[in-house]
Amino acid sequence: MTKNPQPLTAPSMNRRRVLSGVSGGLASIALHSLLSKSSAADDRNASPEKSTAGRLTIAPAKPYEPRAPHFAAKAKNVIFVFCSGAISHVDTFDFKPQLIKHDGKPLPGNEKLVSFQGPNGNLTKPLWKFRPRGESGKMISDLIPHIGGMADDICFLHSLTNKSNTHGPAGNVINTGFTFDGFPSMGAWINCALGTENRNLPAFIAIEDPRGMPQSGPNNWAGGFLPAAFQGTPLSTTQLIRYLNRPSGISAERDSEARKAWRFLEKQRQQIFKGDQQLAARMASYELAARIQLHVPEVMQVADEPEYIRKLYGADSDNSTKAAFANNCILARRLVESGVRFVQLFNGAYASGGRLNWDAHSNIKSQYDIHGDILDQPVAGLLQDLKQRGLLDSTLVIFATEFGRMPMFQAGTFGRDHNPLGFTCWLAGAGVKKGFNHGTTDEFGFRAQENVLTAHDLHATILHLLGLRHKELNVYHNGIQRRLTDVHGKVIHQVLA
Amino acid sequence: MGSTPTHPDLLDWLADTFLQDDWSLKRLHRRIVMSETFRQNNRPNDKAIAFDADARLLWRFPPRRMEAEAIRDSILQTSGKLNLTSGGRGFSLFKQRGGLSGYEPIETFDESGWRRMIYTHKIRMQSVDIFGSFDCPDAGQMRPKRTQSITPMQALNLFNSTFMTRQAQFFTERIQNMPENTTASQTRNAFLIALSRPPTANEQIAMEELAKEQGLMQLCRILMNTSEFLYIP
Repeated sequence: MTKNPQPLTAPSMNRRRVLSGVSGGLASIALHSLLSKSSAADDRNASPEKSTAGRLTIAPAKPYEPRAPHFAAKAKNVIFVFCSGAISHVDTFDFKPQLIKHDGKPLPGNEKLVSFQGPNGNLTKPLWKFRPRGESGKMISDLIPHIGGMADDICFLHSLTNKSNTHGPAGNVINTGFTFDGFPSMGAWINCALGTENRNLPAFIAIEDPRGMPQSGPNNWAGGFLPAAFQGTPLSTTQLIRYLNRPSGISAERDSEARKAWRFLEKQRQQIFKGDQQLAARMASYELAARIQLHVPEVMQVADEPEYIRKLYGADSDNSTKAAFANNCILARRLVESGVRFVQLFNGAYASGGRLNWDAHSNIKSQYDIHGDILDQPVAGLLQDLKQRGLLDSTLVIFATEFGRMPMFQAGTFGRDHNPLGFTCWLAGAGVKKGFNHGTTDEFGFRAQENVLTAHDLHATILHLLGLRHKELNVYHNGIQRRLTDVHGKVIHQVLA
Repeated sequence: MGSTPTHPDLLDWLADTFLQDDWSLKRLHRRIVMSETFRQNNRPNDKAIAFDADARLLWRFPPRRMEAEAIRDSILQTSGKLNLTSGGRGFSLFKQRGGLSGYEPIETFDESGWRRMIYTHKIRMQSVDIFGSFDCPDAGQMRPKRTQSITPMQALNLFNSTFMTRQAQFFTERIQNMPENTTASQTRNAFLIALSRPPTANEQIAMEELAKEQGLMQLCRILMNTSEFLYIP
């Protein structure tokens, strides 16, 4: 038995009650077990803060309204930069003097390693010079000097691993926690748990790279088995929301009169169905749609940014791809400024022989020189801009990729093969240490060695920073209580500020 | 699994009669659908909705939004374009049939794309245009039970998409081709086709005015956006 409005976890309700255990009604939006009560078998390292969200209510007319986290959050918003195609850690953030020393020699103990694309050749030193950056003196390569300049604000995780060595599934793991398609993305979980403070824009926006979609495409921002309300909305400076504007053949006046008439019919219906929440919710959704129509073009006006800001991001570049990606980075900041909860920012597109993304199997030097230029200044500009506006205090920036690359060249090529055994991701901003390094790979950057991490650990940490206990953020689906972190994940407490 | 039943005695009784009827599903179904409970109308009442908004206690027939496929089929049925060819090779909602990414939706269909949506070619990982926002799963995972969310994207898709605009136009032409040609009778016909009922007096006045001033197509467009069109019953 449920009352109105319906709490998600009313005490009388069985924890395992199905997502939409009753057909229709409020349950269409309410996720009964989304934020279930803390279980006895809690994470040993779980935050000591007491839960303030024993009951959670998703008002059917307002699926996006802000909802309280489990405990006080450090981060309010997230920008998630995803480098599609697997950016090489040994050429960027993970400095390995031994790799330079052993350049041209076989990898000891793995002389005949066969990896994703086949046999490997000899160890190959980084193709860009590493230099100490910032006051921390963090060694970062010349491929990404601008990001290097922000090293003192970044918390590096050098020991990520991935259970898949294939782009699609591995990208899914980083973005959804599972190799298979069909699971909710991180943004969808967060959107569902927290809603958004913005009333005029979608709560979760996925900004595609100007070169195209990442390997697993929309699965990276999918809602999976969560209600469609929580899936990401794709939007970029080069591609608007589909059907955002009224049809070309219909004048503004005509459209507005039609909407008025529609509202009249819905109100008539509401008279007959007094108190029906679904009707209220539908009315509200059309109103939000109208506001989105109004505000999306506004927030998209990146060209209105002052010259010095555009220059900071590199939006003035002659390289049209770099300028477009820079504009996407500016858009990400504008969205976060407007209160959008989760922004996914893709750098790099689908598998294309390394032409459109970081998948440099055949010639890493020439391909990365192109991709590095597109990535570097815009992302550094984004960090710098967030920082100067004070937004980095409440925004968590995540920089991730599906896996790293081998310290060797592939046999007979000038590129590096996939390496899911150890690679680098980083965090910056709200709630994380600055100029900090966590985890290591071995002396050649081949395999994670100290504090080995999984995507689940990364996800648990991100949820923690948002005030959510990852083991309690779950939804009953198909016989299983599903969570972003599957049955794994440990908060990386060492990196918390 | 799940929660405790709301009507355990009723379930026991149904199980019992089911056995007595020699496990006849047909009789079981008949017993259920002919019951007064099942034949209740869907109108809420203040007392009950405050107590049990989801009608778990079966005090009314809970309104349910149609699934994505049924919505598309209904739009085509209303516009008069539904192609009832059954069986055979499915049709595509995207410009390409294979491949890993870069699926671009088809916006303008011909008769082959006006078949029932059950005949669409499924792309795992790729949510379908317009109807994906109505919780149509991408088939990447099993989905025995669908969610029924209500989102602003649904509104944008149903109000602005090329597919909808064209079908609204076809619906308009369908009405215009009927023998009655006054705006009053066209308004009435639009309601009869889309909602299976005549307009109320108030609706007749307001919608006739809309049709006169903004064109019949606007009426056709908004009728296919109404909750009454999208919900059962």
